[in-house]
Amino acid sequence: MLDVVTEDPATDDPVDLVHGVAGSTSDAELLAAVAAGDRDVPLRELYQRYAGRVYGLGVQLLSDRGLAEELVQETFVRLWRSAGLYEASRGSPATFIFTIARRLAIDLWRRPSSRTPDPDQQALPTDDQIDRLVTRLGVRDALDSLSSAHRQVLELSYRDQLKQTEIAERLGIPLGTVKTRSHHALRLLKSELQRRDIHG
Amino acid sequence: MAELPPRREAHREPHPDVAGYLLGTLQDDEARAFLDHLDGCEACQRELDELADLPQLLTDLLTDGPNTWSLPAGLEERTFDALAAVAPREPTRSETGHASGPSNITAITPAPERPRERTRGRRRPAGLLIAAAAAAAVVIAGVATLSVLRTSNPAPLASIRLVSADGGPAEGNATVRTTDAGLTIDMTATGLAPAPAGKIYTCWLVADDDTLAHPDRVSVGSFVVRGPTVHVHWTTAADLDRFPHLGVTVEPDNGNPSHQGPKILNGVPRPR
Repeated sequence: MLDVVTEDPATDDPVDLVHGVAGSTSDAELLAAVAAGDRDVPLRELYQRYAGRVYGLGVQLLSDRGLAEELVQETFVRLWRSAGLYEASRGSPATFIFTIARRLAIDLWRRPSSRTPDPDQQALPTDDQIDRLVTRLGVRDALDSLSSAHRQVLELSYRDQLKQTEIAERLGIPLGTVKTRSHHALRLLKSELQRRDIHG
Repeated sequence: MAELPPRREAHREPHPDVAGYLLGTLQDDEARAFLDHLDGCEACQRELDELADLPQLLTDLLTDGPNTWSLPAGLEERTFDALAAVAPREPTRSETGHASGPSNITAITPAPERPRERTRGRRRPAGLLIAAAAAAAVVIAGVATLSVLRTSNPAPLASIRLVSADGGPAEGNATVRTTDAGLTIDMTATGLAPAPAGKIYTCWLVADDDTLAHPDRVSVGSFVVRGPTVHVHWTTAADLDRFPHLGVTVEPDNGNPSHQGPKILNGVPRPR
C-alpha cells in the first residue's frame, strides 16, 4: 500500500484542485461583467488580481515608481473602456490585460520626459524580455496566493535547497506530511498558474 | 519512506514522492526507489509530466532578482477616482456589431472583418451619463442577478447573456418568462462541445450563498449537445428571489442530483 498521508486540516485550504478556489469568479466572467457595464465589484476584483503585477511590470520596465503608478491607473481605465473588445478566441483575459499594460508601458518608456539619460537602459526591452518578466511576476503572484504552509514548504525546497527530511526537522512535522504538503503545494501552484494563463 | 506499490498496479493517489522527486528534495535511496516505481507506473508518469514545468519556473524566481512590490497606499482609490471621471463604455461589439474603445486597444485585438466606429474622445451629455450609470446592470462578482432585470412588462421577465466560465468559445442567451405554471426559461447556446461520455449539461438557478462546499441551488433541467447550436425550453417552479443566478455546468450522468461538475456558462445580465 502507498503511505499516503492526509494533509493536516489546519493548513489545508478549502480549494478544489479541479475548479480552483471555491466560490471564486473567473477572470473571463469578471471581464464579461465589466463589458456589461459594471465598473464596481468586477473591476475592483480584477484590480486585486492584476494591479500588483502591472505595477511590478512598470517598476521593472520604467525604473520609476511614479510611472508605474501611472501605468496601473491607465491600464485599468483602458480596461474599462475596452473590456467589450475581449474575445476569448484571441487569448486569455490575462493576455488581454497585459497586452494593454505592455503597450502603455512602452508608450511611457518612449515619453521623453520620463527617461533619464542612462547608457545602460537606452534599448527598449524586447517582447521576449517582457514576456519573461510578466511570467515571473505571475509565478510570484501565484506563489503568494498559496497558504503560508504550502508556500513555506516550496520555498524551503527550491530557495533553501533543503531535503524533505530537513524540512520536516525544521518545521517539526512528520516526513509524510512534508511529502503530502509538497505535492498539494505543487498542485495548487499549477492551478494558480493556469488561472493566470502561465504555462512553463 | 513510502512503501511502494507493486509495479504496474494502478493507484488513485499520486505517489508521495512525486513532488520530492520534482523538487530534488528526496534522499538518494528515496529517489532510486521512486524511479524504480516510476518505470512501471503510468499514473505517476502523467503526474510528473503535468507538474514538470514548475521547478524551472520557481528557479527563475531566484535568478531574476526582485519581483514583488507592495502597491502604493491609496493607488486603488486614485485609480477608481480616475475611472469615475471616464465616460461609461459604449455598447460592445457583440451587442452592436461595432467595436468601441480606444483605437490602440482595437489594434491589440484587431477584427478587420467587422466595421468599427471611432469613438475616442466622444462625450455624452451629463444627463445621459447619469441615466446610463443608473441603468448599468448590477453584477456581483460577475454573476448575473436575475431579479435586477425584472421589469413591469411580465414577459420576458429577464434577458440573460451567457458567457463562457472558462474562457472558451461557448456563449448563449436565455430568456425568462412568467406563466401560470411557473417560470419558463428558453436558452440558446453555441460553441458547446458535446459532453464527455457519461456526462450531461445541467442548467441551474443558484442562490446568493451557494458554494462548492455548501450548495444552495436547484436544477432547471439537463440537456445534451448534438450540433453547433442547442435550443432548450424548461419550466420551473423555482423562486427567483431565492435563486437569482443562472448558470450551466457539466455533471456526471450517475443519478446523483447534486452539483459536482465544473461551470461551463455563466449568466450576465444584458445592460438596459
